Amino acid sequence: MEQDTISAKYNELKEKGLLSLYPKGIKITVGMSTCGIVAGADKTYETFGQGLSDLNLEARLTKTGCLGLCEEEPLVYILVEGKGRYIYGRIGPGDVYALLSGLKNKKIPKQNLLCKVREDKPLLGGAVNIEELKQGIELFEPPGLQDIKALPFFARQMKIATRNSGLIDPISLEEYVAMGGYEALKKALLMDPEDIIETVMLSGLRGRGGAGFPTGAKWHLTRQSEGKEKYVICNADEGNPGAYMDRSILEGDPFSVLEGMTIGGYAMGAQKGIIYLREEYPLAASILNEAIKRAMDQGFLGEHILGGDFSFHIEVIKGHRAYVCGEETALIASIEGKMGEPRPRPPFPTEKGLHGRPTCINNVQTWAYVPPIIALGHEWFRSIGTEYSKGTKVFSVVGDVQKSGVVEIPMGTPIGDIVNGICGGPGPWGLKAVEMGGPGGGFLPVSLVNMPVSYEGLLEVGAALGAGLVVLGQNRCMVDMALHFMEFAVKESCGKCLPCREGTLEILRILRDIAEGRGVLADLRVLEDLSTALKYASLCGLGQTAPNPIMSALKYFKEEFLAHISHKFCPAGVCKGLFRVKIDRYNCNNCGECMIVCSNQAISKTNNGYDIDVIKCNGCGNCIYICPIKAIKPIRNED
Amino acid sequence: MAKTISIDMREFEFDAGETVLSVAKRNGIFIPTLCYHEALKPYGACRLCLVEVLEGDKPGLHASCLLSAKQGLVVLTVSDLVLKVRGVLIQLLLKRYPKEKSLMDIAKACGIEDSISTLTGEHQEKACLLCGRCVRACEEMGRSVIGFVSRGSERAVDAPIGSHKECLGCRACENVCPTGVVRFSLHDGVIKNDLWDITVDMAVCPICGRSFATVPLIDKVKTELEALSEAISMCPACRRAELLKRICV
Repeated sequence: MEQDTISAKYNELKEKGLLSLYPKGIKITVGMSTCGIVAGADKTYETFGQGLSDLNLEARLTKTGCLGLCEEEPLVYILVEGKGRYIYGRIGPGDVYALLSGLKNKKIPKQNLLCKVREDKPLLGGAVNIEELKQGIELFEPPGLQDIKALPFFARQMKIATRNSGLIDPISLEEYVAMGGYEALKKALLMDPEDIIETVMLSGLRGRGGAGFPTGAKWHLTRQSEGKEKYVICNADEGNPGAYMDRSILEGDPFSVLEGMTIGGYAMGAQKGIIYLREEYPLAASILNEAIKRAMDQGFLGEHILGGDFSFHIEVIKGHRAYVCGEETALIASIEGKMGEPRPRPPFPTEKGLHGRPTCINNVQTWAYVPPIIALGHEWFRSIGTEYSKGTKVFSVVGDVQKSGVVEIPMGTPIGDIVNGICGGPGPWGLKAVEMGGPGGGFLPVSLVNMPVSYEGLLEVGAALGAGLVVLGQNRCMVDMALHFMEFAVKESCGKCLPCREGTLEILRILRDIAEGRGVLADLRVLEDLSTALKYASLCGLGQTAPNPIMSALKYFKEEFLAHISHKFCPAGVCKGLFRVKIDRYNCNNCGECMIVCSNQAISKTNNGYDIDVIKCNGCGNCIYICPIKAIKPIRNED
Repeated sequence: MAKTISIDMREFEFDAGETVLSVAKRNGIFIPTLCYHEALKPYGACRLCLVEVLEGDKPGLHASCLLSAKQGLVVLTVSDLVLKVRGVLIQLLLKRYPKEKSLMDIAKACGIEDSISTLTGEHQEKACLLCGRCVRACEEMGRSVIGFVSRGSERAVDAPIGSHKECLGCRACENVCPTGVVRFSLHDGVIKNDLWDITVDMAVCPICGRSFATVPLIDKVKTELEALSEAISMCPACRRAELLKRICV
């Protein structure tokens, strides 16, 4: 295809995309990612459809992905021509009619209104000032509306990999192109493949799966490897407990991953791309398949991409519910139809991967960074982040935090800023630790929580970057948390190598002993020995990092382990049988919440206040956490 | 000049493609192994043969059965880290299979008595150590009849439904098993493996009427070596007698 023809095609798509992004009149968009649907967005969407016809209101109804503010789902965006985009949180089916009748009466309803967007600034395209769009509709807007940029949740974020999520219709190619999508592919196809790899290498992009291998170097190795047939794989087997940022990207902006993979395929000389998708992500699968179909229809994928010589196909392959298949050699074995077990490296997949051919495996986020890097250049990407960690990082923040969700921050942002600044802090119980890196990561105590996010920094303190961020309040017991992660490791160990198969089981047994009051001091030494063996002797990363949570818990919270062992006491009031609860009558405000929450009717009201029947109490600890003034405390059994 | 590697501060020559384990074995340096077998491709799963690399590769512990010897490589088979990790691994095995003799031999060779084990757990009397030798033997020489089933601590070796019939009865699995838990026994006209519930018919010598090999094995030889198809039907003794007869007559 001639460059003129391509430009004309892009312009046509762009025009269509802008028209559907900013249509005339009113557009109602519902956040329909998994986080939204779980909160009931599908019902909200249906009710909007019904309501629009019932109230005879003219408006476009569309879907979008996840904006990141998952706590407030279902999110509804109302775009009014010439006025702005209004974002509403927690819109259940019951709120729909109130919202619609407000619009019908020419008012912007105030209920559940979170903020207003006045201007869209797409990373790869021109800015769109919604307030100035042509002739607007006259609607009454409540005064004193907060702009989205003023919300603490969004103010400190920097959206690169999640640039389009919650903004465009995920399966609309036109809207993706209108946001500057596929410009990078157009540019890349005119470049020398070596130059693309050079750009990625100079950008300093490192694998976002956690290991942090330089992406450009991996591409270079794959390109250098001999073989006519090569593969690129997108590792979307996101299995860390509490992590879902990859899903958010795939469901919110699938084309960015497809475009990244296509550019990678061209640069490395691969003909086929595979997205290895976690089976538990059915929505992502259908969105990806639809996106692939549309990209092929428009010539962005398939034979002779954009009319040139380069052909590239992408296929979605579902995993089979095994955490270990996120390890690259196990992932390859799984695609080949073999048992999902890691094999020793070398040879590395870049040399001998899928079907024995050179294969480049990158994480979802890593692929999503590729188009902006190519479009905006390596210097732009290098300017963000720390010395050894460039760009931004997407985290899903869950746990004891006020606003859980998906956030994207520049590398080097202190973890405390994410937890307290962006996500509103841990709530009444106060922060105890932050778990980073999932079952292969570690717990960071409050004293380390202000360290900047970077590969090098986190590695030093025993955490990792790959997974999400799990915030733990003071009400969590670290022995219990370490036990939880070890249970996961035992369940997900493939069992191939001895240290991981037998070692994790033994660590779990010892942790159970400690949590159930049978621990002895010698256990701590055995735990350390086992952890060392696992770390140095395991075959794959899963086993090598499996002891990290327990090692970091032992390092930073040793006194809690000692309390469990020496005093048979769980200071957090979590481990059953290792504490009893006491009501501090002096401070008690007699609210009675504890009596309501008690699972065994052990709390009763007496003349002197509330009383706990020690015999009836089953040690669930619910009363401790419900008490608004912390007047109920766990104490030692013998006290 | 021949290329050398350093093992425990001594220099040894090596051939192209050789592993550190093979160089060490050839020179009488002891490295314990479990999943390794000369006849099979290295697997690197038991991790007992770990050695510490000081120079020439990524520093740290490597499975010597998979580590290629190369010029400038410096490894230790006995270092604090190796001994510590090896000790934990053997203790883990001993804890799980306290009565397994082959394991006690390995432990003894490494200087680990089961009494010093601080690990105490449920004692399982099971002699399969999951080394995977049988699985690999079947994959490399047989017909991949057996394989691993389940994950993690439930991992076991079994013949999946339908694969029983494929067994050649070559008994390579039995041959490589370090503990002797894989056993075939001869019953009238068949060999049987109770572990995986495999039964293979025995061929009968047309002359003396003795069972001497399995039917599928003979069929395999017949299809692959047509010239032998007549001779292979007879048992070795009758085959010799028959041959002698033909030569003499």
